[in-house]
Amino acid sequence: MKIFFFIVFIGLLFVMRYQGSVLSTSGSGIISLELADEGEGISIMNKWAITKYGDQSLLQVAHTNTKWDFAFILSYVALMVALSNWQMQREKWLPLNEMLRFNLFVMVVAGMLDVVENFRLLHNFHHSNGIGNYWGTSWLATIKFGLVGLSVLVFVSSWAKSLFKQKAIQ
Amino acid sequence: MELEQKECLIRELLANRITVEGFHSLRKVIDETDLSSIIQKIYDLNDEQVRKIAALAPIMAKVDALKNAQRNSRFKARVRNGFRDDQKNKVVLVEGDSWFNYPILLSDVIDWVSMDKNLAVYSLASGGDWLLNMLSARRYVEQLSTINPDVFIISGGGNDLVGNNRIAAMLDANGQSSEFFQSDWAMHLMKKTEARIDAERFSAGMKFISKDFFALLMFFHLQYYHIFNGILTAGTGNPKNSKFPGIKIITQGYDYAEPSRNLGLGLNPLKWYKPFARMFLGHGTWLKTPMDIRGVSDPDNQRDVVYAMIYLFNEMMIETGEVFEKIAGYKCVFHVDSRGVVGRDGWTDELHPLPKNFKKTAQAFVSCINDNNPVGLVYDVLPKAPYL
Repeated sequence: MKIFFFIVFIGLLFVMRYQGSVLSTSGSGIISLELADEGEGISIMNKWAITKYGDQSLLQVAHTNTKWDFAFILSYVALMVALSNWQMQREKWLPLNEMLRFNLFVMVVAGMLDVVENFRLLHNFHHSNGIGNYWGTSWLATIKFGLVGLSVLVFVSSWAKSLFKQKAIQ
Repeated sequence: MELEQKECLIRELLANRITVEGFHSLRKVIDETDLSSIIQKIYDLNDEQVRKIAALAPIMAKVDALKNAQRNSRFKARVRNGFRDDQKNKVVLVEGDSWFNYPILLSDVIDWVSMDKNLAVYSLASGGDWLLNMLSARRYVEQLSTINPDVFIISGGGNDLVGNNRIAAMLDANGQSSEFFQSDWAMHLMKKTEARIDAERFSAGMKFISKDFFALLMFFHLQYYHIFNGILTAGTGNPKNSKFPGIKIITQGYDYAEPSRNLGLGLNPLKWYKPFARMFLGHGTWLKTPMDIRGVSDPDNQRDVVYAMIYLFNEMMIETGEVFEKIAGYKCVFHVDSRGVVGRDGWTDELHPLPKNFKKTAQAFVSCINDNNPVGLVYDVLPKAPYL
């Protein structure tokens, strides 16, 4: 199961990276927008609105990218839940075992925050000129990245620990 | 034994009026048809209805199978490269219920056991599975032959007692029951108990337990006897006929579960799964609600009922081990005794301990598996501490 989730995740990551690189040609990528305050956010969107990529603007690319992000959210949440659950069955040290279980919750919360963030971004794309209509996402993005970071750190610590132990036994 | 005599003993068993001697005679001649007929009478259902209520929900079966698939691919990876050549390494076959396979959320007993580097564990356990299903599906029989394990671990009976509100039918709401004193076999079990006991709670609980519980308890013993007799003597009663000489069988008997509908909300984010499990995964429906339905609604009475039931269930399992020590001539059926380990606050939900408490039980299993010179048949998870 985790291999399936991993393949889907890598596929979607490739799509997201490609679209992200297109947006970055303007000097600001999607993460910059997620973390931006109102003024900065509107400035990024205005820049995207006037920058062409083929027959469409970068704002339309950002719009598409945000829609793809819903699938990406599902993939990274499923992958981290599957990996944490897999590692839970190997982690003997109770505090880390409990942290891996906490990961299941943390990743679902991170995914939900990301979904809310995407809806706010989609709203903003439709009001890219209107100050006062901007819905901030920086607080959501900061919490989300914090939670994902914590989750990855817990998993990697436990995984590295078991790899090290396995090597020591061999 | 004459058919008529057997039927008479079955009637006595169902009425909770069978003597110890009668029960021992019946045990020797009981077959699967008799077992099926007994359970239909205990549950007041026909064979099809019994199988229907005992069947696993399809989603549950799939999630259980997923966890087993992960475990069993790990088993295959572990047994490569001469794993069995090393005497210290052991191959373990597991059959059981949610104490042995609690998918996704919890690290159950077998998760912790499997982490021991000297053990390769093959699991057939399914959360929510009934002992009845384990016996009739006989999946363990096929795997015993294929894997030829050093150890066979089994956990079953909990869902047969609490599944589908069955526990309500085992109760006498008047609190005046004297069925314990009518059960020659239960009295026999209690006379030789060595486990710590809160006699007051045991007696208080017994006042609410009807004859059907004692019939079910004897039925559990007959089922386990049937399973172990098949493994240890190929059903002949003679250990020389065993296909698995030297196999170690280990059982467990749960802990004093807490009837509750409390949501377990708290400030510790690491325990997020406690309210989650309690809200969405059946908490309250196994013990508390059926007891309320039956009219045993005082929380202390409910706890005492569970105490008495679990106490006797464990004694029944220990007796099963003793029976097979006599038959086989060596210690072959062991029991991990978790009674009193979890305490009142150590539960994820009504029936399942927190992972840290599952780990304690698992440690006793690992000790038992690796013990090449066992002194006794019982491995206490909580050694020598007085029950509080």
